[in-house]
Amino acid sequence: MINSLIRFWWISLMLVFSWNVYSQGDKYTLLTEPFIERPVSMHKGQLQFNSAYQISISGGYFEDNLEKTNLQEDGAAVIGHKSFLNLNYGLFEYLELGAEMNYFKQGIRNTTLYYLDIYETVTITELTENKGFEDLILSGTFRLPNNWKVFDMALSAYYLLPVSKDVPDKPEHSIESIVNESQYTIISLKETIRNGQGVPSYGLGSEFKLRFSNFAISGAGSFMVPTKEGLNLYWDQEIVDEEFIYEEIEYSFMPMSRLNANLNIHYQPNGWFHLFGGLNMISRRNGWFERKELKYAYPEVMFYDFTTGFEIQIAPRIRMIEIMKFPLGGQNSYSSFSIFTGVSFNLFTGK
Amino acid sequence: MTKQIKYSFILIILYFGLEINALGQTESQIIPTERKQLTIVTEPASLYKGFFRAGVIGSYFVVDKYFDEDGNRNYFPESTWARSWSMYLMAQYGITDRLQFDLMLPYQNEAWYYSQLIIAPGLDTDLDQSWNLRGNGLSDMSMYLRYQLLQENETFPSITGEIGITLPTGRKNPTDIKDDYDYKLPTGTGEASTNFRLLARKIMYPYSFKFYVDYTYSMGGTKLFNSYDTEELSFKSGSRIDFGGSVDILLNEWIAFTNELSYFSYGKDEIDEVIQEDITSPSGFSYEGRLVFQIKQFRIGEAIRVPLKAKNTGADPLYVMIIQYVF
Repeated sequence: MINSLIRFWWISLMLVFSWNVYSQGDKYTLLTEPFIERPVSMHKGQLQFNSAYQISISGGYFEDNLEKTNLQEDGAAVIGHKSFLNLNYGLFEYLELGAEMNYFKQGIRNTTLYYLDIYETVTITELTENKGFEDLILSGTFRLPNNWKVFDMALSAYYLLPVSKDVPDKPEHSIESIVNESQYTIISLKETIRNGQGVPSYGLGSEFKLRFSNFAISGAGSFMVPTKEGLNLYWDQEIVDEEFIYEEIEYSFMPMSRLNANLNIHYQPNGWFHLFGGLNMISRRNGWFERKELKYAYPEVMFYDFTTGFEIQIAPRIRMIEIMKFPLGGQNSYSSFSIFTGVSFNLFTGK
Repeated sequence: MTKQIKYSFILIILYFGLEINALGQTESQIIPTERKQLTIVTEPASLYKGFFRAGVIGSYFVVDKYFDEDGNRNYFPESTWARSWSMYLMAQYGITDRLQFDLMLPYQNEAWYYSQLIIAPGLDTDLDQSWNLRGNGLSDMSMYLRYQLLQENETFPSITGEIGITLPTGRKNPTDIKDDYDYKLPTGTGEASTNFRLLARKIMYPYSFKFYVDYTYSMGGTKLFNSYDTEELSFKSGSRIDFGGSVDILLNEWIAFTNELSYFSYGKDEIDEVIQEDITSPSGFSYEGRLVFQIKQFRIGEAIRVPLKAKNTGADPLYVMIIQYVF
């Protein structure tokens, strides 16, 4: 009896051990899957946490007539800092759920103005800061269950939850007077705009991957439209006795619709490294805002850039992504050169 | 029979003893090629004798924000910004297994942009002005001698002492001065300095830990502080103290991720023999994360230094790229 029990225990242990080995090996294979072989959505049970930081240096601005103004020469280049946080989970082999929330910060300076007369010099500086979390975007991605080696495609649905602050902060303008041989006045204008949209949006998207040996072509496109008009505040201001007085004024607005698309070519020389390059396009349109019972359209925004980068599998669960983005053209948008550094952490939940 | 068993037992013990010794000896026999391929985590605190490491270090940063005297992070309010990139040619040579010589030759390229609009209604004049000041050329070169005072063993970390000198080889004054706002920026500090460093380092595979203290003493010099100055003023920068620690980890056999937290503080500057008591000396904490790839004898690194909390200094991140090869 005891011998039978021992034998049973040994056999069970060996089975469990061999199952674990198989299971670990299987997960290892999936975690270290080269980009080209990777499906366009998560595997079942795969949890992916992506985090990245991007610095953007905007040395120019694409005007409404598509001409580029040189901000760099005007001392008004804009440096943007963006942190990306993204979580994806493979609920089933062909169904992925995702959530994304990013933080963005940049300061926009206007040309310093000196107003001179016989008695007084007035210096006016102007700074507008964008600061804060963007809204939470939830997504569901359905991958076509075709299992073709050459072609892979997924369709996505998005919902933007307006959880982030959207009301601009009370301005922090100041006036400083210095009187010595003549009178100097320094007026500093500072406004802080938040990155929340204030209104929910929904959208659809799709992405595909076409594989040829060590090469692949991938593309993605998505659009999001707001569900309704929103209400926000702006700060009316006037100077009384050398002090700024502010008044909150409510206004209605319709956020702009968003359209994003990209197309990339990938080369995978080995299992742990892949290079890519392609085009990226962003478009914003159809928004408006109201001031004193008059509706004004937001100017249409367009920006396209060339992106190139690489991805390295640095550990079974960790991948590193580095991307550089070079501006090609646009309309009513900054001409930004960006460096994106990201880390992707992957694991499988359950057995 | 009992004697035979005893002899056999002694022979077995002796055999295993010799075997262990032999194994121990084998472990320490690393061929030179493998030594040249050691990662930033597993390499000793100085280069092995006769090894030569050459490389290029590139850095880039913009000037957009600053820490004020109270430690608040602010944007520069006026329409101004600057960018700077540097390229260092570096060479290191292992004179002995414990003594290393370093040489750093920096090339600097800076640009400073400023614009203003002047409105003078009394003169019925509007004047839109912008300046683009640039400066490029050789900056101040440095040399270091590093010696492992204590070599690392199983219990204790290695302790390394370093002495360095920076020579004012960069252009110290503004040149090609056309007016107050049109000239070439200097690329050097205009003074020599010497620095002393103590570094403790312990490898606990796959980790390594570092702690250092660094002191820089500036020797002073003369230079033009502004483009409109007619004569050079004597000056002496305040001494600088740095200390920091780093936790480094090998993510796999050839990729290391290092995390360094550091603090620096300057003493008071002296200009024209007057100590600048009214100006808050720069000080602050920063974090630097690096990914370093060791591909055979090549080392490729990428780093980003982020100022965390500081006073009277810049608040923008610094990007660094490193390419090195051990011959």
